[in-house]
Amino acid sequence: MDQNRVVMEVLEQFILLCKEFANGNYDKANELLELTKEEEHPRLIADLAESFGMMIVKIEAREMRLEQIIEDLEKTKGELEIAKKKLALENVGLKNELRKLRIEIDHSQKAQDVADITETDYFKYLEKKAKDLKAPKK
Amino acid sequence: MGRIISIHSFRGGTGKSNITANLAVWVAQEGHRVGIVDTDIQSPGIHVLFDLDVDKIKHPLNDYLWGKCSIEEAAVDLSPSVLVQKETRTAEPGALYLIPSSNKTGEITRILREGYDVGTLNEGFRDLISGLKLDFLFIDTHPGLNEETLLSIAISDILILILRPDKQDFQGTAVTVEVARKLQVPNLLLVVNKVLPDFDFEDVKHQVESTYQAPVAGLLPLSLEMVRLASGGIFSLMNPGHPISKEIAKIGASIIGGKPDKS
Repeated sequence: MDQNRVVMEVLEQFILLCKEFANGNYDKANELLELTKEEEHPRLIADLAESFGMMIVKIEAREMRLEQIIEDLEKTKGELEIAKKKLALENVGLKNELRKLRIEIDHSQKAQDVADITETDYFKYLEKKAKDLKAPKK
Repeated sequence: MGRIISIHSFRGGTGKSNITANLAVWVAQEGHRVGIVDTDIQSPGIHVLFDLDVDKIKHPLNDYLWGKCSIEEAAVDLSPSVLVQKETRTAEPGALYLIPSSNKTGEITRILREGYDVGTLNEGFRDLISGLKLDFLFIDTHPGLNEETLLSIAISDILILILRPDKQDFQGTAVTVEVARKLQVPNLLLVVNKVLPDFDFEDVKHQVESTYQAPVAGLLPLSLEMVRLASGGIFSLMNPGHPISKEIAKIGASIIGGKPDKS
């Protein structure tokens, strides 16, 4: 009977521990470790405690890894936001540049360049002949 | 009577030869008889687009200018290798001839030093049109305004000026337009090439047209695919659905005075 009571108490302790773990509180994991001592507890209890302990360790490890991943993702997200803002600014700059595209002709330079060509003898000959040249011979 | 289409740009690097080749092919594919003369004697290049080994050509344009052969003997028939029969169309493809310039340094130097009679060139164009019964003769010119370029402008029925949207091209084109007007070119068309895709194309067209008081026949976007092709073929034949090919068709249609095929 005594033995049964001990088992019942231990199981109740298990239930409490499970509630703590379910809430993400692993501070009482040490209590679980105490229960794994085979010389103090029935083998089945010790084995159960061992299995629970392993489960908690694995869950904690997984949670840590996930937290790390979330942290990395948050960091990347922040960097993306910054890059996005920078791009938006650059685009505004580029659009302004496009709007600024104007065709500018230096008319005095043009007049000079045209004169350099049209004042040659060859050009004058072409100009005079332009109409005849267009029509096929014969 | 065959019409002469001169394609010119004030500076090099505008994509002149590439556009000339694509336009000529398009017009030929529409069922016309087309010739291309490479008068860019100093830096010939259009033959590369047609994968033609000029060193193996019996008579380049240079031989004609030296009186070594007739102009027809300098014409290479590209029809079988370049033109493709479109299944969807009933009309036969036309014909495509190229009169290439010599690629040999010695021959280039000789013609530059000794010169030649530009009148001979003009006669050659006429003989070519009548001899090969051409509907259109495309003249690929050397950038700038030297004598053979001025001649090709003077005798052209349509002058196509190619420019990029940049300051030096704007200035040089202004000079060329005025010179062409003095030579009474009946049709002057502008083609703006290598336009960055995020430009407002309508705005560019409007600005260019109002600056030069001449119609813009086409605006070609700067294309990575075109750059990648790197003169390795006729772009519009290889990429029929590409925006550049459609624009080529549009320019081609304004040359032959019809509407572009589908699109």
